[in-house]
Amino acid sequence: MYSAANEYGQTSTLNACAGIDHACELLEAALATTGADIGSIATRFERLSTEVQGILELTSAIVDGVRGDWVESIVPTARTLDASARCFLEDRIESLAAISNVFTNEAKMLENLLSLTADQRSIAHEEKALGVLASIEVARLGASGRRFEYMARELDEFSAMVSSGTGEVRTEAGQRRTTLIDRHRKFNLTLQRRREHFQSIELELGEAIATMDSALVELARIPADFRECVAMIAANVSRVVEAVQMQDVTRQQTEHVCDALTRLSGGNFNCEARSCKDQERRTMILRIQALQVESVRNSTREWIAQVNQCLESILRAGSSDVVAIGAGILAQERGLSSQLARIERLQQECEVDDAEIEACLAGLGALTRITKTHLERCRLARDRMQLLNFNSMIEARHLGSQASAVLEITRNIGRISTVWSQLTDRSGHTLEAMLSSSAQADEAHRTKTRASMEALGNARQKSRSGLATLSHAAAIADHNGQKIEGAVAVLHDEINILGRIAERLTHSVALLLEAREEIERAGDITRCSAAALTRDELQEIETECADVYTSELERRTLRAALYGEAMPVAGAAVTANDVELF
Amino acid sequence: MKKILSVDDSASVRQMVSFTLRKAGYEMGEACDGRDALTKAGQQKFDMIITDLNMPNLDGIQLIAALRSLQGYSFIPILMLTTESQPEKKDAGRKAGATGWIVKPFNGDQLLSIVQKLVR
Repeated sequence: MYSAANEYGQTSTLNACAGIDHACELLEAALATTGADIGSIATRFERLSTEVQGILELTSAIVDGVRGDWVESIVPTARTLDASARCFLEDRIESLAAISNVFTNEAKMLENLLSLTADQRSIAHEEKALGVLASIEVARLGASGRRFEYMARELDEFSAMVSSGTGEVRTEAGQRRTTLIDRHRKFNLTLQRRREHFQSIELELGEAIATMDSALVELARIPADFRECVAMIAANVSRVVEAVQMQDVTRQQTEHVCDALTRLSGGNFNCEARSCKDQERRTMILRIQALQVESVRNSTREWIAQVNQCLESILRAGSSDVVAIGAGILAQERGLSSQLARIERLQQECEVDDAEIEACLAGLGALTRITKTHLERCRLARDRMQLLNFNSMIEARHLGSQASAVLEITRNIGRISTVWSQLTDRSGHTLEAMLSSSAQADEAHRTKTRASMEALGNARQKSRSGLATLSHAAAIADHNGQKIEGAVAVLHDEINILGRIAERLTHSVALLLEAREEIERAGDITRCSAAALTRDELQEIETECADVYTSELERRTLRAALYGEAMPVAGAAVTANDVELF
Repeated sequence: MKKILSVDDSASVRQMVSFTLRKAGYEMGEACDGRDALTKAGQQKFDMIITDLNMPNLDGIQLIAALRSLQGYSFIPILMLTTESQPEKKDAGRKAGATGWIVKPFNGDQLLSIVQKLVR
């Protein structure tokens, strides 16, 4: 015969046992899941860590490669190049403008020379006419006129010589003038083009330097960022190492709960059959287990969060700016290099300009030679004319009134001789002025452009060398960056798998919650309050449990259940990493 | 290269110890319990042993006692790496011949610095 109370007691005992058994099953399922998954996480994490190490090494190589002192010298070197280019360009413009003026002056002097030769030609005509008159007078005077035959010959010869000389000079000067006008026109066009070219180089070089400068400022920031990133990953890796170990701690904790529940499940929950004190103890033990499960749940949640946090930090490192440094610097380097190439081309063009200027200035040489020969002849003619004038004057005086016409011719020879002498002097001065102006322009141009060209050449050399180093480092950085991108892609796959495992682990957190609730329900079924236990009884339970518990975490949780102390904070294992050397 | 034996019945913990120390250039060996560790220690000489306390077959304290009587292991450093932190357990470890005691979970940097200090 069963009483109603007994019937209820048996039912509640069955319910409590079933609840405890179910809690045990849930805990074992959670244990199996976390055990397998944490093993998988540990293995994959080791692989992941190797990949990350590889990425960090590649990144470190990038950072080291772009951290040398030479990086800091790039912008000053480029600025020196900029200043040298500016100086070179200003000197060129100034020098070319001076050469242009020389061409203009020479053209004017050529006009002057041509005008002088025109005067010389008219004198030659006059001499020729005088020669004819002298020949007529020689014929009229008969035997006494033979003394003046040489006068007619000399005048003819002078006329022929002057005509031929002025013809040559005029032809050469005319050609020179044409060449000069043509050259001047082209030269002005070149000057205009160079000015535009120079302005665009100045502008673009300035922009390229400014861009490079700001890129290098960014670059200077990278080592610090990278150190921070490495430190963050190291800290997170360290946390995962701790999380994996924490699973071992929670595994033991869970096993202890399962053992306790199995022991309880085998006992009798019937309040009628056992003393209430026993039931109160059992209720307390269930409460302890519920809190232990809660502690396991908190720890599991915490180490899942640590794994996820680490994965996120690794992903952040993979997508770091460091990866793009190489490509960025290469772009900057290309910008500056193209300006350098333009300057080089410009310098070559200027060398061609110089060759043309030199050829043009040398073109004056032929005219100079002809004009000099002509001038020598003119001087000779002047001397002979003066002598002819003097001799003719004496001879005419000997003849007296018969030689009045000859005397008139002689006077004309004297006048022509004076004019000729003046023309010869002016031609000589004009030629000297042309030569001097040309020589000065040539010298000034050479001196000025040589100095700035040398300075620019040196600056270019330094810039090229700096850019070559930069380019080399940037190419390595770019290469490493691409490798990093490849490694990060592999990493993503690995992280996705780890993420799925972490997700699965959260399911075990739910199982733990369910198990805790089952245990709490089983405690409620006993309908005996643990609050009735005395301090001594609680201490007795503590002593019994402490023998089983292996970690401070369990012991703290035990005290929380027994005496209402605070639950240990999840994640921060109470005495973790307590080191003692004996 | 210095050789270190990690002894723990948890594969994950062994893996984390090996991972931490291998990165620093140590050659790592692993054993799943005290008996396995004794066998491996007899087969090759290790410069240091890091062992758990609670393990099947032969626990950490028993392992240390056995190792200390093994030729070549009288003076090598043996670290206990365990969740236990009770003074009486530590005392038992010290008496058995442990060189030091670290409570799990260990911090990688700190474990490394202790190992570097003990293994030269």
